[in-house]
Amino acid sequence: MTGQVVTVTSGKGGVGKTTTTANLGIALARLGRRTVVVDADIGLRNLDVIMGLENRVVYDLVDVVEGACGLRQALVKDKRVEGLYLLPAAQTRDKTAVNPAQMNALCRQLREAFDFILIDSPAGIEQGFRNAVVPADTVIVVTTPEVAAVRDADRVIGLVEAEGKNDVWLLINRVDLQMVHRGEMLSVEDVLDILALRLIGVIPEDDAILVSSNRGTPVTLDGASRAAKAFQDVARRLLGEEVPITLPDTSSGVWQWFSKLLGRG
Amino acid sequence: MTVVSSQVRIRGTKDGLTITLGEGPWDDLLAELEDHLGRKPDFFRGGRVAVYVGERHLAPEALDALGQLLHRYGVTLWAIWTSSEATQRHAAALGLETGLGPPVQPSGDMLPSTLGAEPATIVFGPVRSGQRVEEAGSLVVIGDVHPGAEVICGGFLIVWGRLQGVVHAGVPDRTEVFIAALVFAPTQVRIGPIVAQGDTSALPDAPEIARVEEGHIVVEPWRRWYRHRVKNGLYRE
Repeated sequence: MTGQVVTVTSGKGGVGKTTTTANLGIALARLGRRTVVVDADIGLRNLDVIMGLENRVVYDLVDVVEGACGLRQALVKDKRVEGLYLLPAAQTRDKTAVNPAQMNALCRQLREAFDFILIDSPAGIEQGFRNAVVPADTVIVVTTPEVAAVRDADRVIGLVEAEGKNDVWLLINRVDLQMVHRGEMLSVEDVLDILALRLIGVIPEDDAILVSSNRGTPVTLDGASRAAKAFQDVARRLLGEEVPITLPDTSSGVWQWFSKLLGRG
Repeated sequence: MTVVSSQVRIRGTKDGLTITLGEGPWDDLLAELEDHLGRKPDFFRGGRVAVYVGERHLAPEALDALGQLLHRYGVTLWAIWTSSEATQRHAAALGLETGLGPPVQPSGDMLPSTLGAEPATIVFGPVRSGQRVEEAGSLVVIGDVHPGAEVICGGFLIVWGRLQGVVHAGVPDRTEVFIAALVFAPTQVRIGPIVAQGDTSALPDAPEIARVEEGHIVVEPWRRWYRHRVKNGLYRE
């Protein structure tokens, strides 16, 4: 078995890399794929918090790389979803504790045991970013429809391509239907026009995300919200399924109908 | 050198001059031609000329009148280009070369005579933020140049796409080169040693061209620049 390494990155911080990693991990596991989510944000870990697994972390990625423990010891099993594991980051170290060659070696091991290895990249374009991107087969660049985030995404896409990666996708997060309609936010088309990259999904702005992240129960776990549905769609696209992307900013169609129904149109 | 008037067009080619005579009474055209010849007699004297008359039917006398006129200014008529068989026959009888043409060549083929000395490199975009493209000669980018990207070349720069980054043409000190883009909205423009800040407040809706005029970078709609050039016969500069 050879698993697929998918790195989630962005450039700018706070656009939803960790949320995306957690939710895609859950969605892929729910679809029956053995999945591990890897926190490569060494020194600023929070994937464990968002997953609600913080209190079960014993060993971490740096311990594995340095041989202080075995890989199996460091993996935290998510008891809520069959086949989902977390490899946490070290909180007391920094990005220089690991190099790209070690990440490659780690991923080789993980590929043996998992269908999907999702790596949560740190923000920025320094060594931590390289550590996360070098082992990737597929890269998902997350952005929000903000000028600064889009600009950083552009920079990161260039760097990812410079690493020789060509399976690169764009995920647009936190698209606010109302704001787009009012012309206060870049639309999905605007972002695609600027970045010229294939789109793997659009996640609508959803209060459920914030609430669930604070509770440590990612939205995809209960699956009812619009954001959860959108993440599930992204997971299915990763599996190669043809799932049409419903753009939240089309002026007609289902989204408008939905928003009217909810009294928000 | 090209002179454009209503119906008489004179153009320099590698085979000498080509004069195109358009519509209207023959005598009027000859009078107009004489006007051109008389204005720059030194330029024409000693030259050889082919005359393109379209599909016009010309009697031997009419052709003879043309030959006589040119002869008075020291110009040798050597060919008549026409699609009229009768005109071809009459011209051949006068010892002239005949044929269909060359018709007036599009001005586009003149541009490489300047660019031709410096082959252009083609780069496919997008050129993304943080990326830098550098070329010693002229450069054509097919695709967008994003904000935060840098494109630098020693000659002309043409962007077939949206130009939003920092661009520098004519490195280090050429000011006769230009930068042209389908959507010209760079953050900063430099041509040779001259720098100008871009206006990124709105995207223009027509292709534009930037060049140096009296020590400043001037940006204007490509169409206006082009019309001006055609009108002033500046194809080859």
